[in-house]
Amino acid sequence: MGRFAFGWDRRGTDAVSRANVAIAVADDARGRIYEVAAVCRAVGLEHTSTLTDIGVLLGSVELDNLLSLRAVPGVVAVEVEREFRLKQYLWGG
Amino acid sequence: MTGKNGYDAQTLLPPRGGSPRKQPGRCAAPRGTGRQLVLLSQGAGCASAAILRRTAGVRVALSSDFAGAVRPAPLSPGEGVVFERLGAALLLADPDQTRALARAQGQVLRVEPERFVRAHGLMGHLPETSALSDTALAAWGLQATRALSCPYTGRGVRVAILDTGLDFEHPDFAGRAVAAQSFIEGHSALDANGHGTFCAGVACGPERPADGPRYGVASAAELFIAKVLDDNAGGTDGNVLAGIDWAVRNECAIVSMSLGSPVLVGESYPEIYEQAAARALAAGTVLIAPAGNESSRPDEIAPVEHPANCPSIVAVGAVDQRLEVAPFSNGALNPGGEVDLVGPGIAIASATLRPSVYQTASGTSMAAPHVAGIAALLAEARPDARGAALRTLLLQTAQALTAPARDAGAGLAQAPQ
Repeated sequence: MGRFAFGWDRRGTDAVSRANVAIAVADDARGRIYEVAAVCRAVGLEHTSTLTDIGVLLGSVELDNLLSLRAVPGVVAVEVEREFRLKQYLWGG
Repeated sequence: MTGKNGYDAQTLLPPRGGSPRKQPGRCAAPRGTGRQLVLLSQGAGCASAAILRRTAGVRVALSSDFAGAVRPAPLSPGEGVVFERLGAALLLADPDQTRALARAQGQVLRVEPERFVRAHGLMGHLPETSALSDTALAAWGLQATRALSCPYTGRGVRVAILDTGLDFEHPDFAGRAVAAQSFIEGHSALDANGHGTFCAGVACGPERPADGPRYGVASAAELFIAKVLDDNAGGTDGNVLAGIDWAVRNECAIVSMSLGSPVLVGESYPEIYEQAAARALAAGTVLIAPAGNESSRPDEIAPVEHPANCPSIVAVGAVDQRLEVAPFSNGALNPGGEVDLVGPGIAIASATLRPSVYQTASGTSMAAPHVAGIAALLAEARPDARGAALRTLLLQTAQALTAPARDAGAGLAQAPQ
């Protein structure tokens, strides 16, 4: 079973209604990842990338549609995108 | 031949051209005694002495002959002692004898240099004189990881650096064949930050830099540069996942990604990254990431950060020139978020943007590409080891440290000899 990781508080964007997401496709559904992507689009995913070698879809979705996205057959996890920021204080010297 | 626990005598050849101490321009391995430890198969038993004599012409005594006492006299060249109960032997073999043993099929499983060990009571503190330092020849990190005496260069191994890109015209990279892809909209893979050039330099910098000592581990590895962080060193999961996917598609054996974001104590790892990393491993790609720099030891230890906290990603902590865990290096506090290895991470010299050209920096970001470079050396030495097998090899060949596994994992990554 998949799960959600509600990570948008890290980005300081909890006031927004839309989030970038990464969607993991199940091993047994990787062969039909484009079909899974089509169903995800039908439930509100604005689909931007299909990473076939690691079985991941990228895009954005209304927060209200996260549950629908998770319920798509072949989807094992939906996670809201995090930001990376390197620590500059250790840089230099 | 692959023996028990995946050991393989083929990975343990001494450096080409004989003993590292006799190679002009190369440093001896740190803290080596000059003797060799030989692991024999369990079936060798009483025949161990005969096997060593027949294979390499080494004269050996049995430890049982000493009735438990310490070997009374130092070994002479060509001599050794067999510890029958351990299935191991200690030899003072010359380079030809060592090579003969390393190539032996059958009951010789492994040959490696004997190292000095320290009592746990020292709590990881080496005497002042044991601290490594940069020399005219090489940065201290290459000495600590024995990359200098390694006969391999990473040739034929693809290493992806997921970072801020590369300064392609840097004197140490100009003219080198580099595959590059940007995942930052509106930007090429050109590095305008310096972090990416630095990390690429540590992992894959040249054997002979344009100026100064050598700092790169796998000098002949094939570089794949993915710009997944912008010029302010920021990025998102989507950029990074796209970079991993690109590296897997390009059959990179190793992905070094010196990036991360902090997690809370008790927080689990992200399922999507774990799945992506597991699929990358299955496809033959090992992902390597820094444990993070959030700690203030000894008072405060922060958990291994995202995405290094995924069990299928090799998490790398940092040590200093005395091989003590760096004060900022994160530890294994959360489920799955182990520290797998450590690498040199304090006062690390490498390439940076022109016109500065070189810079010194500290962080687990600097430790991770050391480990990535060593993984490339191991991958060249063992073409059969990819994905999970390469990851296992990386951990098995690490030098154990006195620091707890929470902070140092299996220990300091070591280049094959």
